Amino acid sequence: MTGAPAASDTARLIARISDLELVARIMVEGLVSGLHRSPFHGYSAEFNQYRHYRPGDDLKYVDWKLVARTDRVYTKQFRETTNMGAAIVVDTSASMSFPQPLPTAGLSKFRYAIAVSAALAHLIATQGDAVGLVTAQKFLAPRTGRQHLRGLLTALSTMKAGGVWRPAETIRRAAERLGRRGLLLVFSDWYDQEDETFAELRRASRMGHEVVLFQVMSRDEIEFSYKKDVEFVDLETGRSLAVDAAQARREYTDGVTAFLESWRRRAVAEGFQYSLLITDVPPDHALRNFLIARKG
Amino acid sequence: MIWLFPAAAIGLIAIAAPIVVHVLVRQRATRVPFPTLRFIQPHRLASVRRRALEDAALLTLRAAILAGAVAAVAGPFLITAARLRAWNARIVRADASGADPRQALIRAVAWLERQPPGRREIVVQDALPLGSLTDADIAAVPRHIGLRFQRSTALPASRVLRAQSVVDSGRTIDRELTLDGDRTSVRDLASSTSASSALEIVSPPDQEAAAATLRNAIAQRRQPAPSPNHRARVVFGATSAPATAVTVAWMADAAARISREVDPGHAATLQFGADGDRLVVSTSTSAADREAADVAQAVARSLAPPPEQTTGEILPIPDAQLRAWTRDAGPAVPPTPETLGQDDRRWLWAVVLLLIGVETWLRRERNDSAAARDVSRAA
Repeated sequence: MTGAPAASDTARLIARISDLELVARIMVEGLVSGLHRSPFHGYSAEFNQYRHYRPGDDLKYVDWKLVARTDRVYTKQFRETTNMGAAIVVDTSASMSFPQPLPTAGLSKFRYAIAVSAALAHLIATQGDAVGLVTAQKFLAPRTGRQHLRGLLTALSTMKAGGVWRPAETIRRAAERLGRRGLLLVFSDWYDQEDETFAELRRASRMGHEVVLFQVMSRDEIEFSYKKDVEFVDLETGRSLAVDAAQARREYTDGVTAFLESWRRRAVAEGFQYSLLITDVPPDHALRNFLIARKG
Repeated sequence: MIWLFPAAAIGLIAIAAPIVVHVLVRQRATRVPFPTLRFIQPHRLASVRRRALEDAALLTLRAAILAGAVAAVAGPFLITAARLRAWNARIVRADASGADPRQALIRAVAWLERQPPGRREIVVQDALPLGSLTDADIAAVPRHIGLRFQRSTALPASRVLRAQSVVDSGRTIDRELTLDGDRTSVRDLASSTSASSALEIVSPPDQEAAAATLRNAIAQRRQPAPSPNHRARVVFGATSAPATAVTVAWMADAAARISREVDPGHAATLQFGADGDRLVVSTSTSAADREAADVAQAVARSLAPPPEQTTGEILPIPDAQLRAWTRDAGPAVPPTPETLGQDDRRWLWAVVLLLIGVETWLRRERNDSAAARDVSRAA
């Protein structure tokens, strides 16, 4: 028997446990046994090229064997000498607080994103890489160490979804603060500023960052399983629209399907890793699927 | 179907209440906070205030519960064939015996109307002399009540009765009536009682001579003796109506008798009033007119008590007449709320309880189904 809970229980556990560190550990411990090597690749002090010695260069980088063979003085250059840096970006807009009120033992999109991002942060930190957090209100620079991880998880657990967010601005800040080539993990439903957001993601990619998109959706949001007359109230703008839900379902589901497919296609075209997270799938299952896809 | 308290049917309005509330009360559509409205097409707009009938079966069931409760309160009584048979097998018989067969018959009819359902019959037990019952009395008995007549005693062969006294030339004469078989005779008894005139005749001075003639004529003519304290005044050539209206019963009776006895065309000119304990009859007719004598005569007669009915009749109602009046009891008539000793409300209450049970079960079923849907969606 292992200490990890069964997969089907994880969603209920996450819904009940307020200690995010514990949630992250439960999810990651369940994964580690199934993954034999880390899915994230850091950067070591790796040789890159030789160049002619110039006065003032540190003599310790001179390759004396090469001097002996060629009778010329070269110094060695290295590409990177640090671990991987990862930045987690979470959409804190009001649309992520859906559904309201929460169904029994259910998770909001925001809580789901928080749980998965906490697990990823735990996973990255425990393998010695730096991890940071960027939201509209918070910024924690990528760092290593258990103390930093605890602070990051605390910051995650105290966040609330509300208002609107400017994804392009947040992603730009994350990409620029990430400094060197790093991993950008972004959780959102991607409803806001689509084109600007995508341009910013493309820019981050060109800066050398690896971009991973998590699109967090609820089942009700995808299947629109409402009946009779419903007055829908936009969580972000407060605007309302009353419709006969049964009649509006077909056009709604067509629109959402096209929207999701558009994001998936654009992400793949740009070389981003894309993952659709649906809140009725246990988060540990979703995380496992994501990591397996990443290793593959 | 008979209702003990039909006024309770007003409670049926209660059934309309939930329906009227449903129709009139405008309720907002369910509000659902949603991440975005961008995929919801606005041309599928629904009325925010429209409310669809969510569960017609439950509404019908609840309306039926209300209707059943109202009907039970109203006290229904179902008229079944079995009950009709039972009622027709029973006969309720009233004995109409008494000094006055007519009054006994009326009392018997009233008593039967208050009895439980069943066929009804009245048995009249009396000597049944002539005039004790008439066709009018029999016609007043409802057709469904049977009638039978039994002579209880034999009538005497002859009878001597006191007849109404008369006044003749200022003297009161008592009289004796003898009934003997089909013969009737009246005999004056000696009497010396002097009677003061109860009738006063007044006229204008120019008609005084005619009025005096009238007084003599009335005094000379044999008249029924007036009742004690009954007095009247006739005013001929009157130009105004009496000042005081008639308020005493005997005066009203006398006025009615006078109006009946005089010529109908002339009766319209009569006006009645009172002056203390005296009846005043005013007419514009002159004392010298021919109709004046009729008026004076009628007023004099009206002061006497009405002629007694034939209480002393010695001739019986013919058997043929009694056979014609005899009839069997008709079929039992349905009871009235006043004569019902029971009702069927207990059965309706039982039905109401049953419906409440079904409604509870149905409501729980609906709730369980909704909960199951929620659970399946959450899973």
